[in-house]
Amino acid sequence: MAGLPIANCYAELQAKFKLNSDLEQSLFWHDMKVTEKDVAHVADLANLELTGEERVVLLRDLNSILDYIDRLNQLDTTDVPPMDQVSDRYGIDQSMTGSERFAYASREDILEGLRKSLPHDVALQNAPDSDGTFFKVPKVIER
Amino acid sequence: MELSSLTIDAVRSAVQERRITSTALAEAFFAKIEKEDPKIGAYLILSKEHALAKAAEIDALATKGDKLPPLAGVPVGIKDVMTTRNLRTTAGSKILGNYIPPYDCTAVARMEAAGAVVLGKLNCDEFAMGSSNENSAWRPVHNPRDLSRVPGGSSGGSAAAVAADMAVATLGSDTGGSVRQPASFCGVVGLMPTYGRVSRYGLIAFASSLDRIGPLTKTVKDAAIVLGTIAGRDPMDATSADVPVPDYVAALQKPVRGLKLGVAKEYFGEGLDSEVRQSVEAAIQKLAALGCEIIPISLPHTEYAIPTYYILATAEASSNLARFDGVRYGYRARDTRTLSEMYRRTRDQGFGTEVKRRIMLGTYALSAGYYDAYYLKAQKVRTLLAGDFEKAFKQVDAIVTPTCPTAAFKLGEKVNDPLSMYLADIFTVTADLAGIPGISVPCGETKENLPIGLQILGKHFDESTILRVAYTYEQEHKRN
Repeated sequence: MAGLPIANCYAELQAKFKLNSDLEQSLFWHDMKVTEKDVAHVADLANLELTGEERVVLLRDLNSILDYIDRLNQLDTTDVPPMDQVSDRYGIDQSMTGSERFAYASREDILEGLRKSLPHDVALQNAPDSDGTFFKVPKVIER
Repeated sequence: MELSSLTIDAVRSAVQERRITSTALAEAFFAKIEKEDPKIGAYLILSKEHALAKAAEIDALATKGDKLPPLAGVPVGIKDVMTTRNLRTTAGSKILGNYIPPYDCTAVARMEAAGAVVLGKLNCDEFAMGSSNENSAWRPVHNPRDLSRVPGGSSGGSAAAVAADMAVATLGSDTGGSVRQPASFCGVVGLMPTYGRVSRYGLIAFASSLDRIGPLTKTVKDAAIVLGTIAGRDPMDATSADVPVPDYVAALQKPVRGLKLGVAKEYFGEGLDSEVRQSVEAAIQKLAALGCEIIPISLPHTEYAIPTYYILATAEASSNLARFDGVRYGYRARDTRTLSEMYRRTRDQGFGTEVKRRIMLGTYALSAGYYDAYYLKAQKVRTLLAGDFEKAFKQVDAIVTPTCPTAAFKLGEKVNDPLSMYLADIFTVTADLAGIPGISVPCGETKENLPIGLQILGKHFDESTILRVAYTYEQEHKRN
């Protein structure tokens, strides 16, 4: 299916997945959040290529998931601080502030302080391609 | 020896008293796996040689008459998202199909140091992303209770192995419900400890602010023993907490009389299966009869947990999974001309559909112009969700809920509908976001003999209380 225009893929997928009419509307009318262009842009950012079929399915799925996620906007969070981790709030000495709270996690910056570095051969043992000293990759040129 | 009745204590004392050797026991489990697992699919990789060497070590100790460590000779399985030195670890993904880790996950190392015999690596959804185990790149897992149904996910293999007596205990990981939900679906005990309680070193990262390792076992006591083994500060994980580890087994014996248990109305609304409701309500009645005080509470932001989770978890995943690029380890696409093409083809061919879906959603949520609307918004709602629990825990000692809205569903039932699959985690995902511990303990069965789970949620670092409630309930449930 790769390589076909997106509309053709959509027709096939529509049959395959029996998309409901709401979803069709959201795909083809004005209220579509994520467009084909967005999918291409995000795939580019994520270092994914994706087939034509995958792009169509993702267009459908991302729109339907983001529609659901929109319910977060029912909440006024103007004065709510963001929570980006658990460990700066719980299980620590609350009387401490800032990085003092994590004093227990700091250590001397010494070579091989926690774990010996992997020997060269072990570090390379999983490499798809190496010359025994370096990882080998295809030619690096600008995109 | 009857494998189905084996608990950790039973194994250790049988080996200590030399009624059985650890070697014979490991061999019996491998025989059982060979016979039963082709139809279940719980194991991806067996480590027979390594296991028998470890068992021989334990047998030598027993012969000498040395006092054995707490997990001596106990056959365990490890979810395939935890690294095991020199034992293939795939995270259920083709992109790590041939990966041989040069180091052990801390939790696995602690299990082995306590005498556990690792039988092999357990099937799971790819990178722990899924609620049915159908996203494994290798094969789905079938629920041992009903082979036409899913075992839950993402730790589906970990739950199924315990349920089918193919391990005495297993380790799973929980990011959005992935230990408790499969435990509930398969009729075993599943414990998710507090965030920071168990080191994440060697746990292949999905969403770092949420990921936790936890045990799946046949009994609550076994869950307490395993937690005591793997818990505690690890310098290799800066987020592992510097909080003393109490004696979880001793805590089981304390009476529950007078404990205040919260029942949140948001967990008993529309969408809850009537048989699940009945069974969980009966369990709550039982806890009341045992002297617990039942207190109605509200966790008003519950309905926002799934959308919050799917932004935060996918955003973190999109960043964590950027490391899979075909350079240092794992799969690499063939015949590519440039580095950029190699990255893209490798990731295209190496990742499965759900993983790509989540990378795309997470990348979108973090991309310029959408960060504030999605990622930052979700982080703020996470504060509100954690706040719901903080308020509730001023009133109550623990909260009891159903683990899942339904019993195990059929394979294939939800594969084409990601949203309905995500909703299977609706009662488990809140605890992941808040960082609190939770346990699922079997509390009955549907008319079709499918297990139902009771979930008990506790305060940060108060695993002792939820284990105690679960244990007391389990003992009472067994009596009747």
